[in-house]
Amino acid sequence: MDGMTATQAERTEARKARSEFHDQLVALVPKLRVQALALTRNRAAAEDLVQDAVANALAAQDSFTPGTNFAAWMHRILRNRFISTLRKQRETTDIEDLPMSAFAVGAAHEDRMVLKELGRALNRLPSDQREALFMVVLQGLSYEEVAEATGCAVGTAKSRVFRARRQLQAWLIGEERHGPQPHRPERSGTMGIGEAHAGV
Amino acid sequence: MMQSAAALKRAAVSLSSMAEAMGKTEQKRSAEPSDPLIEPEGEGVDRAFDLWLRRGLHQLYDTVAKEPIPDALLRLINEDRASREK
Repeated sequence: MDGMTATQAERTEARKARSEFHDQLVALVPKLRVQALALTRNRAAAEDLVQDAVANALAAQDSFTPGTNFAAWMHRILRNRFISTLRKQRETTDIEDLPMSAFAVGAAHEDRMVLKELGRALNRLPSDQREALFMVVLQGLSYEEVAEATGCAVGTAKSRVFRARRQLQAWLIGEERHGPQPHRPERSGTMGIGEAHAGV
Repeated sequence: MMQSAAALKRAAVSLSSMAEAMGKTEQKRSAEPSDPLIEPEGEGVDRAFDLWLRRGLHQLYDTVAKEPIPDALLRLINEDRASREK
């Protein structure tokens, strides 16, 4: 009797974990779409990438350990899928493919121009920097989670985000300082005050 | 292009002034006023730009995140959920 009860409890627990998996997946899809856009820079390709990554995740869901970091696990799948797709086909990116809905309403003409410039500059960034920047700023992932999802060291993740910010700054407002910056991760491996938190 | 570059400059300058002012206020609160190296000018500019960048990224991409999830994708997930619950 106790054995049967234990089995039932295990089944209930497994069912609950499976249900949570699907709930987490649905909740993460909007962020995956943004991240896919960071990787592909193309709306149609981004939609395809998310669809493929979700299919891969569903097929591999038994390899996910409940209670561990679902977002990092899912971003890793998205990234791996992107890399394997790249290997199969030549890169066909459209650097003008910005989310135009952002420019449609609400913003003044000047603001729209600025946003367009930012969009173009983002697309010019090296893909590893753009990917890390999006993960931190838009997905709210910590540097540790970025490192886990992209298979790099935490210091490398910090450095990528830092370099992305400063490169955009140089391109957009011509601010580029060349003096010693002892607090910066790319030089010292430690974080400055402004870098201590994952958010910009 | 020239127009937008000028707009970017204006945005950055106003944010820089704000951040510098904020930096100076924090300095008064937390550091020795005689130490001029606590808040280098460039740090304030970087922080102002980072703030602007964060806002710009959200303006650009939040609309994408708010778009409805395609039916095909939801169906894929829900069918898998149903098949595993059997």
